[in-house]
Amino acid sequence: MLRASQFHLVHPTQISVDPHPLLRVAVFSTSFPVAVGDLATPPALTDALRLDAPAPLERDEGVRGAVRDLLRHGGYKPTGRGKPASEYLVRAATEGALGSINAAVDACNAVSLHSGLPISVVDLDRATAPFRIGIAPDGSSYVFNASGQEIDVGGLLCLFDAEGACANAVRDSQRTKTRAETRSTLSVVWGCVGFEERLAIAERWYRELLGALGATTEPVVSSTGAVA
Amino acid sequence: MIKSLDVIQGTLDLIILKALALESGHGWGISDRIREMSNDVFKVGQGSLYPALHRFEQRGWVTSYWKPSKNNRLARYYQLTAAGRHALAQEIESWRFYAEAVERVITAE
Repeated sequence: MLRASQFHLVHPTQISVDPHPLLRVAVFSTSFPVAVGDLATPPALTDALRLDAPAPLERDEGVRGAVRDLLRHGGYKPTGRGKPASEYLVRAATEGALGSINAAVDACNAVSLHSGLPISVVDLDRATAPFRIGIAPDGSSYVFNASGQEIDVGGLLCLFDAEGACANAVRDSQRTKTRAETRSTLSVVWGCVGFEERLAIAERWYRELLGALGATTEPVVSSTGAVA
Repeated sequence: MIKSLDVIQGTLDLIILKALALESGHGWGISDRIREMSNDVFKVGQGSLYPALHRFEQRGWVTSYWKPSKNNRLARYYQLTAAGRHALAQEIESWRFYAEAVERVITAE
């Protein structure tokens, strides 16, 4: 009989990325030493959730506009309640509402807040390979919260697993969202053409924070060579 | 010609401890320092480095603290303790013993 310790989750090493003229993306998998709900947040990481905290990157109007252009490319309208997640973080931080959740989420939020780049995170125990990045067809939608609210993702650049669209730069799906029990994740840092260095710094910082929290990260490369 | 190598199994602790003995640092900084010290021969990836640093901390070889780096990147810094310096000395002694034995073998006639 196999014991739990004998199971080794096989993380994806490749992702298919559809050609997209504005997209630059960084994708990596993460294994946590404990469930993310048990990962304590160091006070310094909580402090990094403030807008005025020291950070290697500063969000600006240029990157904000570029992210919106990235999402518009397939026909999606990134306005109102469909704004990029990174813009929600800025608003929450401005209102003092961006609190600590757990160290894994806090690391993601800190990097996204300061870089201005949206980040998607899916639970690899809930999502199923193969993974692909591409524009969702018209009429696509998924539930994004526990209340059953849906987002229309038609025309929006999304991460797909074997079952369909599961995350994007606006809202990640409830189906594959991380929970307190999550032990392994796939992160997608949504970058844009013209901001390649920003993407590289954001990815490096994000992976360094996760490593310092005891997690192990591994890059997931594009099997199509389109971006990344 | 050999251009770059993953660190040989069994020498990872020695190399990381030595890098930390020269200067405290954060994960990426330690990795970069090892690459520079080895003239770009050794690569220590995050997948090897961070588990080793956590192991060192559990053994009392390093202590850690969080602070922003020179370019304002919040990072966890690692500093060698007296126990870590002692472990480094033992690692160096073991390596020299091993390397000299290998040298004797390959130069034997």
